[in-house]
Amino acid sequence: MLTVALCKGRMLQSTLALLPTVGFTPAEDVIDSRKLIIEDAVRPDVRYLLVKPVDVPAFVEHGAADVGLVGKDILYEAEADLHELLDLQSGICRMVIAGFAGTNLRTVRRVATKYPRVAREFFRVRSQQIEIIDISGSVELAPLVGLSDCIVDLVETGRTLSENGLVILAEAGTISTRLVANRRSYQLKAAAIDELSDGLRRATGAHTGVIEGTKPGTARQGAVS
Amino acid sequence: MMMKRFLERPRGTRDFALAEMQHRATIERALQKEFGQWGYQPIETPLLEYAATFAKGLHEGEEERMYRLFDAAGQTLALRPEMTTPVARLAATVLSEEPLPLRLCYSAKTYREQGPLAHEAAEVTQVGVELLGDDSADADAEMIAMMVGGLARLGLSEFRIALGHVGYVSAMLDQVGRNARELLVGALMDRDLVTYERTVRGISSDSESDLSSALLELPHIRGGREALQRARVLAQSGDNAARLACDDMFDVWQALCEHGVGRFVQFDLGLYPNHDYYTGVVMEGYVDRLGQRICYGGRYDHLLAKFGRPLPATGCVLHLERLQDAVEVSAPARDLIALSYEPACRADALGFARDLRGRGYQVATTLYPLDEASAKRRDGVAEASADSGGQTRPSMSPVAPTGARGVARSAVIWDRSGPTLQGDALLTEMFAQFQERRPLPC
Repeated sequence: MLTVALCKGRMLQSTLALLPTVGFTPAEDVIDSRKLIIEDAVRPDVRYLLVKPVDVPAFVEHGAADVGLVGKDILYEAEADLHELLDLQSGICRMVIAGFAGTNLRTVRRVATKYPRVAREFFRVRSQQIEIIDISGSVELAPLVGLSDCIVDLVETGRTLSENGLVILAEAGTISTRLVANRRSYQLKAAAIDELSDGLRRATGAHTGVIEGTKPGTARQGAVS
Repeated sequence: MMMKRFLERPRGTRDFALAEMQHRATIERALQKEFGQWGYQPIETPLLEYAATFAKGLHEGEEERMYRLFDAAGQTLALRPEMTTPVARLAATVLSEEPLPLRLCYSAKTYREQGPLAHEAAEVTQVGVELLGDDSADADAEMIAMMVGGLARLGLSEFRIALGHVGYVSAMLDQVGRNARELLVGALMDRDLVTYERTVRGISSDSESDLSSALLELPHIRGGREALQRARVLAQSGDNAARLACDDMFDVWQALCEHGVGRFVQFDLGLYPNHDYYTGVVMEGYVDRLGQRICYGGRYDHLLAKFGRPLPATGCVLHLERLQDAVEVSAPARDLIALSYEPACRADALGFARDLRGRGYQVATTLYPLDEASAKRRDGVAEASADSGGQTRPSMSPVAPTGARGVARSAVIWDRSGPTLQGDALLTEMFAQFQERRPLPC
């Protein structure tokens, strides 16, 4: 049995487009279904868990799921103990620092974000110590009401930012979906996981390498890669 | 309502009692038995060591997580975060005159402060083995075969030991510049193949080059003999150290097959533990029921030199609390006899208890108040023990000693009318024998 954890929300659509191309086919209309465990349409030895994105690392780390598909943003914050196997080059969006136009990043002190580790790293490599205001939704509100000098957040289209009068001040990196595996499963279910991983690698052309806009070899020092 | 602080345990620690403790002790004994059968001798070292001792063995990140305290002279002490370093100290001092190789085993609580994201308990019981003074592949194989033996003895069958070789990976990565090497090692330690791959591609724009494709393939090589053959092919680009490491891995693999444990083992060349002291074959064990590793270890040939006694060494530890979660509870119910008596019958009751203990039985004796010695209560106990095959919970009758509730299989109630035996025929038989030897005054 291979249990695959999928993120509900933003990424689900692109994940569901990808999986069937490598022989993994959730049996139901996952988007509309309220079920949390979904069987595979063809393979009796595969099932899917639908979980909140931020919970995927925990499900995989503890082995409740063997593998998971999850955004690097969440993975980076969770610091979970697992295998990060593949960059699917899908679900791509940018991690940015945003605020009012003209904000001087060198004097920023208070930063509102859902991504404290990204924010802290971004400013740390610039020799700045900042105060994090941990917020879980509508982060854009923080600078508007004077709660913070700027925000660190994901943007896909940038519409929420512009409608609230904010602009992108800097980019911290590009986020994409990753295939992760539990440490036990990686050893005990090596064949099944290699099959999924190799399939996804071929399907996404992941071997073509570096995502545009990120420098190779900066992952450990930079915020996110 | 908030729980009162004095009733809480520090985060990351656990209590063990009753059935859980019994389960734990059963596992520990089984492992000690296994190690003993391979000729390993138990040792114990202090829970407290000088922090300077651990500085010889641990890397910075681990040192930061030590619980420290100061002695009266201002020396920094630490609760041991692991056992390998204390074993090295012991081997270099107390055991310095002992003949080699030294085969040592232990069961020890270890402590590491948890970060904000707790991946592991603060208090971990490590049951482990160290083999000092033998640098052969046979010694590495012995370690692994013994782990397989231990896990099998615990009734586990769905498990796998993953093997890597720090020397091999090191030699392969020596072919790239120092900065890139550091990134690659870091990525392997983090099990982050995305960063690893990106870094390899960043080294050489020509990803078709032999070195690039060898490094890209390396962490994906997993399996038995065929994986090692692949490793040897990749090693052609490396220096002699890589080829020697391959010979070493083949040798270990061969020995493991000869130990009869080959099917539990697979090589995973990307395995690179986050620990400075490993130098050769490294291992991690996993069972199907648990998401995290259950044992780990490897060869550390340079550590003992830091204590002034250069010796090759290899070792491995199992994580007892994780084993408790993975191993099926098979402990039989305790064969406890609950014996309660009125004050006037104490001499007889205690005499019988002594007799039973002499025969190897567990007997808990309890005085019960005179005025409450009612037949009604006695009936309550009789009902409970009549249907108990040993597992069912007897009544909460005050006759059963507190510590024995739920586990007593037999009961004896001794009042002025004499003893009432509630148990199997064996108990009656033992009482008859006891009576023959000693006439009852009561």
